[in-house]
Amino acid sequence: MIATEPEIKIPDQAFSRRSLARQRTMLAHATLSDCHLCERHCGVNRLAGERGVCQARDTAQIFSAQIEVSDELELIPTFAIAFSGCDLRCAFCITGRESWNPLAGKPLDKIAIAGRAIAALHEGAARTIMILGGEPTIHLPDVLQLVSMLPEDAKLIWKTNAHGSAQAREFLDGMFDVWLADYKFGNDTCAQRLALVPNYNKIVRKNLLWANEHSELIVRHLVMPGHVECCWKPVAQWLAGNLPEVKVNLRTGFWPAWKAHKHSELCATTSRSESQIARAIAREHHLNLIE
Amino acid sequence: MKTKSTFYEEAELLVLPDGKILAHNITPKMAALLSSLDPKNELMKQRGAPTLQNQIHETAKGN
Repeated sequence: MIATEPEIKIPDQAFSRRSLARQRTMLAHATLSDCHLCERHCGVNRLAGERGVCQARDTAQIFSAQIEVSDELELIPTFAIAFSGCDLRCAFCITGRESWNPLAGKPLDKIAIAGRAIAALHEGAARTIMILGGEPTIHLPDVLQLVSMLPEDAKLIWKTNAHGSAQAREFLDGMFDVWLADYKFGNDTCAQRLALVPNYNKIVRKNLLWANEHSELIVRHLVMPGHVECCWKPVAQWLAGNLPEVKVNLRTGFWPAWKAHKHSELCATTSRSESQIARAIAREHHLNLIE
Repeated sequence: MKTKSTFYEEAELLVLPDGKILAHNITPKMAALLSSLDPKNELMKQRGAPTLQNQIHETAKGN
Protein backbone atom coordinates (compact mmCIF):
# COMPACT_ATOMS: atom_id res chain seq x y z
CA MET A 1 0.00 0.00 0.00
CA ILE A 2 1.34 3.44 -0.84
CA ALA A 3 1.03 5.86 2.04
CA THR A 4 -0.44 9.20 1.08
CA GLU A 5 0.00 12.51 2.76
CA PRO A 6 -3.28 13.58 4.37
CA GLU A 7 -4.48 17.13 3.91
CA ILE A 8 -4.35 19.16 7.09
CA LYS A 9 -6.24 22.41 7.43
CA ILE A 10 -3.85 24.83 9.10
CA PRO A 11 -5.01 28.26 10.30
CA ASP A 12 -3.64 31.23 8.34
CA GLN A 13 -1.25 33.79 9.71
CA ALA A 14 -3.75 36.27 11.15
CA PHE A 15 -2.40 35.59 14.63
CA SER A 16 0.88 36.01 16.42
CA ARG A 17 3.60 33.44 15.97
CA ARG A 18 3.15 32.23 19.51
CA SER A 19 -0.58 31.68 19.22
CA LEU A 20 -0.22 30.08 15.81
CA ALA A 21 2.44 27.77 17.15
CA ARG A 22 0.16 26.85 20.02
CA GLN A 23 -2.71 26.03 17.66
CA ARG A 24 -0.52 24.05 15.32
CA THR A 25 0.98 22.02 18.17
CA MET A 26 -2.29 20.16 18.61
CA LEU A 27 -2.75 19.56 14.89
CA ALA A 28 0.82 18.43 14.43
CA HIS A 29 0.56 16.06 17.34
CA ALA A 30 -2.54 14.48 15.81
CA THR A 31 -0.66 13.82 12.55
CA LEU A 32 1.71 11.50 14.41
CA SER A 33 -1.01 8.85 14.16
CA ASP A 34 -0.16 8.69 10.44
CA CYS A 35 3.26 10.25 10.22
CA HIS A 36 4.16 12.09 7.01
CA LEU A 37 6.35 14.79 8.45
CA CYS A 38 9.30 13.89 6.25
CA GLU A 39 9.47 12.70 2.68
CA ARG A 40 9.96 9.10 3.77
CA HIS A 41 6.15 9.08 4.20
CA CYS A 42 6.31 6.08 6.52
CA GLY A 43 2.69 6.59 7.58
CA VAL A 44 3.30 4.90 10.92
CA ASN A 45 1.21 5.55 14.01
CA ARG A 46 3.77 7.03 16.37
CA LEU A 47 1.08 7.62 18.98
CA ALA A 48 0.54 3.86 19.14
CA GLY A 49 4.25 3.08 19.41
CA GLU A 50 4.92 2.33 15.75
CA ARG A 51 8.21 3.59 14.37
CA GLY A 52 9.32 4.63 10.94
CA VAL A 53 12.80 5.05 9.50
CA CYS A 54 13.72 7.76 12.03
CA GLN A 55 12.60 5.54 14.93
CA ALA A 56 11.16 8.61 16.66
CA ARG A 57 8.50 8.24 19.33
CA ASP A 58 5.77 10.78 20.00
CA THR A 59 7.91 12.87 22.34
CA ALA A 60 11.28 14.44 21.66
CA GLN A 61 14.63 14.11 23.30
CA ILE A 62 17.41 16.67 22.96
CA PHE A 63 21.14 16.06 23.23
CA SER A 64 22.47 19.58 23.49
CA ALA A 65 21.30 23.07 24.43
CA GLN A 66 24.02 25.67 24.64
CA ILE A 67 25.34 28.90 23.21
CA GLU A 68 27.42 28.25 20.11
CA VAL A 69 29.46 30.34 17.71
CA SER A 70 30.28 27.83 14.95
CA ASP A 71 27.43 28.83 12.67
CA GLU A 72 27.16 31.68 10.18
CA LEU A 73 28.60 34.93 11.51
CA GLU A 74 25.31 36.76 11.01
CA LEU A 75 23.54 34.23 13.27
CA ILE A 76 25.96 33.87 16.16
CA PRO A 77 26.10 33.66 19.08
CA THR A 78 23.10 31.39 18.90
CA PHE A 79 21.34 29.38 21.59
CA ALA A 80 21.33 26.02 19.81
CA ILE A 81 18.85 23.31 20.79
CA ALA A 82 19.69 19.95 19.21
CA PHE A 83 16.92 17.37 18.86
CA SER A 84 17.84 13.68 18.80
CA GLY A 85 16.99 11.51 15.79
CA CYS A 86 16.92 12.09 12.05
CA ASP A 87 15.18 10.76 8.96
CA LEU A 88 18.41 10.59 6.95
CA ARG A 89 21.20 8.10 7.53
CA CYS A 90 24.31 10.04 6.55
CA ALA A 91 27.30 7.76 7.12
CA PHE A 92 29.53 10.76 7.87
CA CYS A 93 27.18 12.44 10.36
CA ILE A 94 29.26 14.28 12.93
CA THR A 95 26.56 13.67 15.54
CA GLY A 96 25.71 10.17 14.31
CA ARG A 97 25.33 8.64 17.74
CA GLU A 98 22.59 11.13 18.63
CA SER A 99 21.18 11.71 15.16
CA TRP A 100 20.57 8.04 14.49
CA ASN A 101 19.03 7.50 17.91
CA PRO A 102 15.95 9.54 18.87
CA LEU A 103 16.32 8.28 22.44
CA ALA A 104 19.74 9.84 22.87
CA GLY A 105 20.05 12.72 25.28
CA LYS A 106 17.31 13.79 27.63
CA PRO A 107 13.57 14.44 27.39
CA LEU A 108 12.82 17.94 26.14
CA ASP A 109 11.86 20.05 29.16
CA LYS A 110 10.29 22.87 27.15
CA ILE A 111 9.79 25.29 30.01
CA ALA A 112 13.37 24.94 31.21
CA ILE A 113 14.90 25.13 27.73
CA ALA A 114 12.74 28.08 26.69
CA GLY A 115 13.72 29.80 29.93
CA ARG A 116 17.42 29.30 29.24
CA ALA A 117 17.06 30.48 25.64
CA ILE A 118 15.17 33.61 26.71
CA ALA A 119 17.74 34.33 29.41
CA ALA A 120 20.55 34.01 26.85
CA LEU A 121 18.80 36.55 24.63
CA HIS A 122 18.09 38.96 27.48
CA GLU A 123 21.64 38.77 28.81
CA GLY A 124 23.04 39.45 25.35
CA ALA A 125 24.84 36.11 25.34
CA ALA A 126 22.93 35.03 22.23
CA ARG A 127 21.23 36.95 19.46
CA THR A 128 19.33 34.07 17.88
CA ILE A 129 17.76 30.76 18.87
CA MET A 130 18.48 27.80 16.62
CA ILE A 131 16.46 24.61 16.45
CA LEU A 132 18.44 21.76 14.93
CA GLY A 133 19.07 18.05 15.15
CA GLY A 134 19.53 15.42 14.17
CA GLU A 135 16.59 16.67 12.21
CA PRO A 136 13.95 18.68 14.07
CA THR A 137 11.26 18.13 11.41
CA ILE A 138 10.50 14.70 12.85
CA HIS A 139 9.65 16.37 16.18
CA LEU A 140 7.42 19.13 14.86
CA PRO A 141 4.74 18.95 17.59
CA ASP A 142 7.34 19.51 20.31
CA VAL A 143 9.14 22.12 18.21
CA LEU A 144 5.93 24.08 17.73
CA GLN A 145 5.14 23.96 21.41
CA LEU A 146 8.64 25.23 22.16
CA VAL A 147 8.19 28.06 19.65
CA SER A 148 4.94 29.00 21.38
CA MET A 149 7.00 29.70 24.52
CA LEU A 150 9.58 31.91 22.84
CA PRO A 151 9.28 35.70 22.47
CA GLU A 152 7.59 37.06 19.33
CA ASP A 153 10.63 39.17 18.50
CA ALA A 154 13.21 36.44 19.00
CA LYS A 155 15.08 35.64 15.80
CA LEU A 156 14.47 31.93 15.28
CA ILE A 157 16.62 29.75 13.04
CA TRP A 158 15.41 26.47 11.55
CA LYS A 159 18.43 24.28 10.82
CA THR A 160 17.23 21.46 8.60
CA ASN A 161 18.21 18.73 6.17
CA ALA A 162 15.51 20.10 3.83
CA HIS A 163 13.86 16.70 3.56
CA GLY A 164 10.56 17.69 5.11
CA SER A 165 7.18 17.04 3.52
CA ALA A 166 4.63 19.57 2.23
CA GLN A 167 2.69 18.95 5.42
CA ALA A 168 5.71 19.85 7.55
CA ARG A 169 6.25 23.02 5.54
CA GLU A 170 2.65 24.09 6.20
CA PHE A 171 3.20 23.70 9.92
CA LEU A 172 6.46 25.64 9.68
CA ASP A 173 5.09 28.54 7.65
CA GLY A 174 5.71 31.78 9.55
CA MET A 175 7.41 30.08 12.48
CA PHE A 176 11.07 30.76 11.70
CA ASP A 177 12.92 33.85 10.52
CA VAL A 178 15.73 31.97 8.83
CA TRP A 179 15.90 28.54 7.24
CA LEU A 180 19.45 27.23 7.42
CA ALA A 181 19.25 24.29 5.06
CA ASP A 182 21.76 21.66 4.04
CA TYR A 183 22.17 20.73 0.40
CA LYS A 184 24.50 17.78 0.81
CA PHE A 185 24.47 15.73 -2.40
CA GLY A 186 24.46 16.88 -6.00
CA ASN A 187 23.16 13.60 -7.38
CA ASP A 188 20.78 10.92 -6.15
CA THR A 189 23.29 8.09 -6.45
CA CYS A 190 25.60 9.62 -3.84
CA ALA A 191 22.57 10.47 -1.68
CA GLN A 192 21.34 6.89 -1.77
CA ARG A 193 24.79 5.43 -1.15
CA LEU A 194 25.85 7.77 1.67
CA ALA A 195 22.54 8.70 3.33
CA LEU A 196 20.21 5.89 2.24
CA VAL A 197 17.73 8.39 0.86
CA PRO A 198 15.94 8.18 -2.52
CA ASN A 199 14.89 11.11 -4.74
CA TYR A 200 17.04 13.42 -2.67
CA ASN A 201 17.60 16.26 -5.12
CA LYS A 202 13.98 16.75 -6.13
CA ILE A 203 12.89 16.89 -2.50
CA VAL A 204 15.63 19.21 -1.28
CA ARG A 205 15.14 21.58 -4.20
CA LYS A 206 11.41 21.78 -3.49
CA ASN A 207 12.14 22.65 0.13
CA LEU A 208 14.76 25.24 -0.74
CA LEU A 209 12.52 27.01 -3.23
CA TRP A 210 9.70 27.07 -0.71
CA ALA A 211 11.95 28.30 2.11
CA ASN A 212 13.26 31.09 -0.09
CA GLU A 213 9.69 32.25 -0.71
CA HIS A 214 8.57 32.02 2.91
CA SER A 215 11.57 33.16 4.96
CA GLU A 216 15.18 34.11 4.70
CA LEU A 217 17.23 31.18 3.40
CA ILE A 218 20.85 30.23 3.89
CA VAL A 219 22.08 27.12 2.08
CA ARG A 220 24.95 25.11 3.45
CA HIS A 221 27.09 22.63 1.60
CA LEU A 222 29.73 20.53 3.29
CA VAL A 223 32.46 19.70 0.80
CA MET A 224 33.12 15.97 1.10
CA PRO A 225 36.45 14.50 -0.02
CA GLY A 226 36.10 13.04 -3.48
CA HIS A 227 32.71 14.66 -4.04
CA VAL A 228 33.54 18.05 -5.48
CA GLU A 229 32.69 17.18 -9.07
CA CYS A 230 29.76 14.85 -8.42
CA CYS A 231 28.14 16.72 -5.53
CA TRP A 232 29.31 20.29 -5.07
CA LYS A 233 29.46 21.21 -8.74
CA PRO A 234 25.84 20.24 -9.54
CA VAL A 235 24.66 21.91 -6.32
CA ALA A 236 26.49 25.11 -7.30
CA GLN A 237 25.04 24.97 -10.80
CA TRP A 238 21.51 24.51 -9.53
CA LEU A 239 21.83 27.29 -6.97
CA ALA A 240 23.23 29.64 -9.60
CA GLY A 241 20.34 28.88 -11.93
CA ASN A 242 17.50 28.81 -9.42
CA LEU A 243 18.46 30.75 -6.31
CA PRO A 244 21.17 33.08 -7.60
CA GLU A 245 20.91 35.59 -4.75
CA VAL A 246 20.69 33.10 -1.92
CA LYS A 247 23.35 33.12 0.75
CA VAL A 248 25.58 30.06 0.53
CA ASN A 249 27.96 28.80 3.17
CA LEU A 250 30.55 26.43 1.73
CA ARG A 251 31.97 24.40 4.59
CA THR A 252 35.32 22.73 3.98
CA GLY A 253 36.03 21.26 7.41
CA PHE A 254 34.85 17.73 6.64
CA TRP A 255 35.50 15.45 9.59
CA PRO A 256 35.56 11.67 8.96
CA ALA A 257 33.08 10.82 11.71
CA TRP A 258 30.61 8.07 12.64
CA LYS A 259 30.45 5.45 9.84
CA ALA A 260 32.50 7.40 7.31
CA HIS A 261 35.11 4.63 7.44
CA LYS A 262 32.69 2.42 5.48
CA HIS A 263 33.28 4.62 2.44
CA SER A 264 36.91 4.77 1.39
CA GLU A 265 36.79 8.31 0.03
CA LEU A 266 35.34 9.61 3.31
CA CYS A 267 38.20 8.37 5.49
CA ALA A 268 40.08 11.66 5.21
CA THR A 269 39.46 15.34 5.63
CA THR A 270 38.85 17.52 2.58
CA SER A 271 42.20 18.41 1.06
CA ARG A 272 43.41 21.96 0.62
CA SER A 273 43.32 21.57 -3.16
CA GLU A 274 39.74 20.27 -3.11
CA SER A 275 38.72 23.18 -0.94
CA GLN A 276 40.34 25.57 -3.39
CA ILE A 277 38.60 23.94 -6.35
CA ALA A 278 35.28 24.08 -4.51
CA ARG A 279 35.71 27.80 -3.88
CA ALA A 280 36.70 28.37 -7.49
CA ILE A 281 33.47 26.66 -8.59
CA ALA A 282 31.51 28.96 -6.28
CA ARG A 283 33.21 32.02 -7.76
CA GLU A 284 32.70 30.76 -11.28
CA HIS A 285 28.96 30.53 -10.58
CA HIS A 286 28.88 33.92 -8.83
CA LEU A 287 27.42 32.41 -5.69
CA ASN A 288 26.72 34.69 -2.77
CA LEU A 289 29.16 33.10 -0.35
CA ILE A 290 29.02 33.92 3.35
CA GLU A 291 31.05 32.76 6.34
CA MET B 1 30.41 22.99 33.02
CA LYS B 2 27.18 21.51 34.34
CA THR B 3 24.15 23.56 33.41
CA LYS B 4 20.77 23.89 35.09
CA SER B 5 19.14 21.31 32.84
CA THR B 6 22.02 18.88 33.45
CA PHE B 7 23.63 19.32 30.03
CA TYR B 8 27.33 19.77 29.83
CA GLU B 9 28.64 22.42 27.49
CA GLU B 10 30.39 20.52 24.78
CA ALA B 11 32.67 21.29 21.87
CA GLU B 12 34.68 18.80 19.86
CA LEU B 13 38.13 19.17 18.37
CA LEU B 14 39.95 17.06 15.83
CA VAL B 15 43.68 17.77 15.71
CA LEU B 16 45.24 16.57 12.47
CA PRO B 17 48.84 15.35 12.09
CA ASP B 18 49.76 18.55 10.27
CA GLY B 19 48.64 20.63 13.25
CA LYS B 20 45.41 21.76 11.65
CA ILE B 21 42.51 21.83 14.10
CA LEU B 22 38.91 21.17 13.12
CA ALA B 23 36.28 22.22 15.62
CA HIS B 24 32.62 21.32 16.01
CA ASN B 25 29.89 22.88 18.19
CA ILE B 26 32.18 25.71 19.17
CA THR B 27 31.17 27.44 22.36
CA PRO B 28 32.20 31.07 22.91
CA LYS B 29 34.89 30.03 25.37
CA MET B 30 36.28 27.46 22.96
CA ALA B 31 36.32 30.10 20.23
CA ALA B 32 38.28 32.37 22.52
CA LEU B 33 40.77 29.59 23.20
CA LEU B 34 41.13 28.73 19.50
CA SER B 35 41.53 32.40 18.69
CA SER B 36 44.34 32.73 21.20
CA LEU B 37 46.09 29.73 19.61
CA ASP B 38 45.88 31.30 16.16
CA PRO B 39 45.58 35.07 16.56
CA LYS B 40 45.89 35.64 12.81
CA ASN B 41 42.70 33.69 12.14
CA GLU B 42 40.31 36.59 11.59
CA LEU B 43 37.27 34.36 11.34
CA MET B 44 37.89 32.72 14.69
CA LYS B 45 38.66 36.11 16.18
CA GLN B 46 35.19 37.27 15.13
CA ARG B 47 33.62 34.20 16.70
CA GLY B 48 35.56 34.47 19.95
CA ALA B 49 36.19 38.14 20.44
CA PRO B 50 33.25 39.10 22.67
CA THR B 51 33.84 36.15 24.95
CA LEU B 52 37.56 36.74 25.07
CA GLN B 53 36.87 40.20 26.42
CA ASN B 54 34.43 38.75 28.93
CA GLN B 55 36.96 36.18 30.06
CA ILE B 56 39.64 38.82 30.56
CA HIS B 57 37.13 40.83 32.51
CA GLU B 58 36.14 37.81 34.61
CA THR B 59 39.78 37.00 35.29
CA ALA B 60 40.45 40.52 36.40
CA LYS B 61 37.46 40.37 38.71
CA GLY B 62 38.61 37.00 40.06
CA ASN B 63 42.01 38.37 40.96
